[in-house]
Amino acid sequence: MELIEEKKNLNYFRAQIIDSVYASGNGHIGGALSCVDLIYMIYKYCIEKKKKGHRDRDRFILSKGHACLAQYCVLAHYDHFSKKELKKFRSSKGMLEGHPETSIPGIETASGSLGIGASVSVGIAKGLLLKKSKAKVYCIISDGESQEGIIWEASMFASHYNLGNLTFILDYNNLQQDGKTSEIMNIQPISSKWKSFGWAVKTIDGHDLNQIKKSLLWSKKNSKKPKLIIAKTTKGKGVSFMENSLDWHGTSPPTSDQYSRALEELKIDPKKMNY
Amino acid sequence: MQKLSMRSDYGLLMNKFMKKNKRILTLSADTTGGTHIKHAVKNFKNRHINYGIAEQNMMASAAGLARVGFIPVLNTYSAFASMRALEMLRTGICLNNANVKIVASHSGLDVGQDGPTHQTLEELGILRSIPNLKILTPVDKYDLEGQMEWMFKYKGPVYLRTIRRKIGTILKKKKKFSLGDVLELKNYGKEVVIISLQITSFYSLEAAAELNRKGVKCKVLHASCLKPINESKILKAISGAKSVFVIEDHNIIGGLGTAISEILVKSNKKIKFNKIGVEDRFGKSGSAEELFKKFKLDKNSIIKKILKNI
Repeated sequence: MELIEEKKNLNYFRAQIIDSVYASGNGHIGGALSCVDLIYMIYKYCIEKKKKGHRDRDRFILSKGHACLAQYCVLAHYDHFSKKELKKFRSSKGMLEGHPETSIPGIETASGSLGIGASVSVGIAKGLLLKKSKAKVYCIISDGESQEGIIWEASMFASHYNLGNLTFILDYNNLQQDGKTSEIMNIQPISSKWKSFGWAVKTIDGHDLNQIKKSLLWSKKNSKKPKLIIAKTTKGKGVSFMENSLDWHGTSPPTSDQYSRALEELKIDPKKMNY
Repeated sequence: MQKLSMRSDYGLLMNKFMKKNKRILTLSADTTGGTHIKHAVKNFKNRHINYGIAEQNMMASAAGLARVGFIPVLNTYSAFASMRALEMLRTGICLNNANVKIVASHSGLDVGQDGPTHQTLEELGILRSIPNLKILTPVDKYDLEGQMEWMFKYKGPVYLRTIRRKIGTILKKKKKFSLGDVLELKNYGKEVVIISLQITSFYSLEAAAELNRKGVKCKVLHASCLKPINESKILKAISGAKSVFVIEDHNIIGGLGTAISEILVKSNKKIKFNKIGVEDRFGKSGSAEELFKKFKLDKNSIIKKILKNI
């Protein structure tokens, strides 16, 4: 399946992410580019299937909160707020905080202190089951985040309480602030770890839209086990000089030359960023 | 009739509130016994979630439960609520302004024999600086019941601290709670104003009675609500007094004493001010009664300090 419209939108979101950090002077580009495909597909095929605020809508939590620009672009696309806010990212004049916060329309919980969003999402999932709601909960965590103890507390809880309505997606790009995850604090063998905690696990290419779509269909199947989708991704995906580079974790914004080159690679006319 | 501890009173009272409001859930971290929420859990088993020994997950996921419309009531010990899971309380619950109630038992030297790891002498100092969090400190079961009624009507994060020991009551009947409440427990005169916190109120009343016999007239107040405190009530109560003594089972840094000193400094009032509490050190194992003597929070130590500094 071609998913042409989706691919076009994703190039635009990538340009918006870079433009936002360029305008604000700082932000986390690399991690946002690695998970924007996942976030968009979750919204398109799950969250936005019901009206905004509907009590039985599916929920999405970005526990990997520093990648928030990826979520903000998608939220703007779905009219949760104006895309002009992206220009005021991290500014005291705007509403888009440096990490997600519930004052922003469409955000379910504050996150970014790694692990907390994951824990909030197991609470949401548990609560929805208690209410006998058919809604599903999706939460993106990162590989570095998996080093936090609370992730494993949440994991045990989800399995113990049969949260079959919960899907975690692990954005596995193997890079964190100080270096390769495998060298800083190895989390492998990650698939067998989650399986041993009682989760059903699937591994996909996190940038293959068809695989993402198929895995989301799999996530909707009724089961007692919570589900983990391990999405193999590339930090900085979509811009050649940003891919797999520690430089784009969250330090300096792009220079004007880098900005132009990035948008050229994404085939996005810079005039489209004048909103 | 055998005295119950406040934590027992709390667990028993929860039955009334859970019957009335079906959205209330109880949460624990393998602590239904110690916190005495077991008295409610046994009657509402399907509305209890035990997290095992995982307070951080319990704290943050409570925000998730509140997000979908429940009123989660967390039950654990002060050390774990205010320190182990502090960031989850601050960022998961308070930053989200989630409608979560945290009921913490086992505070201060009153913890007793479990020793310094569990004797939270820094709890209130830590919690006071978190926005959106109301901190309730009832003096006895009558104060507690009024506070719980208020707590379940209020939409937002609340931290309620129970007393561990079986120490009786001071009030005569249930008291309606208002945010910021300061109670006048006894008034022999206003030469000295004692402002006490929870268990130290019992010692303060004994001390005030004996001081009265010695001709030193004291008024004993209790801060039923640590945050916010009703500043104008405090200033009115100390008006005309020669000196103020704040007595708490807590480090003298950061707790009630610090809160009152902030009010006094802001008011520019000239008055002698003393803090009686734990002098910035860790606790020790021992019975709570022994520890209060050792750390100079008992009746005789209070009397000595007041007579010396009046």
